[in-house]
Amino acid sequence: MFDAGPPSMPSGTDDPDIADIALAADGDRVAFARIVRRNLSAITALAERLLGSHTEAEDVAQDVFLQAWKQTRGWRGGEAKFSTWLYRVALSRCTDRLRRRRESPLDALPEQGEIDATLDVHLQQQAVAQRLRHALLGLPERQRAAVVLCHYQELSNIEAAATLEISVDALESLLARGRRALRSALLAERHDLSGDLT
Amino acid sequence: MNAPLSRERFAVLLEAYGAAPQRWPEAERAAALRLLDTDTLARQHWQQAQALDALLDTLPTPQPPTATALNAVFTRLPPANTSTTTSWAKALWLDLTGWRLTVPTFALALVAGFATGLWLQPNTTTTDTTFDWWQLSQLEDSHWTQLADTP
Repeated sequence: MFDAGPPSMPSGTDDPDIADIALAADGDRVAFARIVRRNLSAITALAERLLGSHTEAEDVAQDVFLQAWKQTRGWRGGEAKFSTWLYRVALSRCTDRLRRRRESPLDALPEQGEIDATLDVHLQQQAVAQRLRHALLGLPERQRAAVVLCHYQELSNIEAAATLEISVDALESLLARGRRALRSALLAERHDLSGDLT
Repeated sequence: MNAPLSRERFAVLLEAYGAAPQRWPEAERAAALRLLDTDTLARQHWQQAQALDALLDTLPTPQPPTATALNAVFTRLPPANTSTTTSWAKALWLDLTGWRLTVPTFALALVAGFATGLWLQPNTTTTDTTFDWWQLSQLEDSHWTQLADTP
């Protein structure tokens, strides 16, 4: 779905990776290391937010950069930012993993009654985060990807739409549906959550 | 954008992007902020969106990748990016924009083949050739009929 050759949508003009891509295409590992250092954190964070697992996120990031190393030779600059393509490959890898995972149920989350009022604030926050993570994982793939790209990765609407290969209007629709679903999923548990969703 | 933003569009922005102005589309941000400053109803909607944002922000920031992960990327890289896969022919192919040439090359080969066929065609019309074959088949039929009738 997201995975292909180098992207072909217009977007990137100020691509910080462009000079290093040309060097890496000629086998320059140091240049490639700079590309990795600029993007590794963002790609790992994206994968962790989509998968809910840091270990899996690191595996995904490694796969993404291995593919990136192979793609530098055929990269056509000026058509998109390299990071947009990296995001797209990462989304594809995460989608594959989530589809494989779908057959096995999600880890059980603590029920509302299980949260003891005597728990300290840190544990309470962990429980809230866990429920939020569960709600995110419960969203349809495209809605989850849109919310993660725009809210957590803070991509602009144009970059996020380019990553998902959709129009900005379609992105807004995905975002609105995703946020509405999150609101209603979390509203039912609002007594345990720190935010007031009314 | 200098045009004022409608309440409806502002509501769409909040539904999609939430309450943080830095997530709003750049082209509409200034107008949205002006509406937020002046419109009470818009401000109420904004506060509701802010509550959901606050909840979403409780998700912890992912840990930074470990040094092991960084090293693993480099240890798994193939020895060289170019020497293993890139021959001079592949480089030339890429320089000639690669697969984009496939269709025009095929079309050119087709036209060349057709032209060569016309050029090498013998000086006999299709009708004459067909007639010759028909005559031959007739002769052969009568020949086999005679053979069959012979005791």
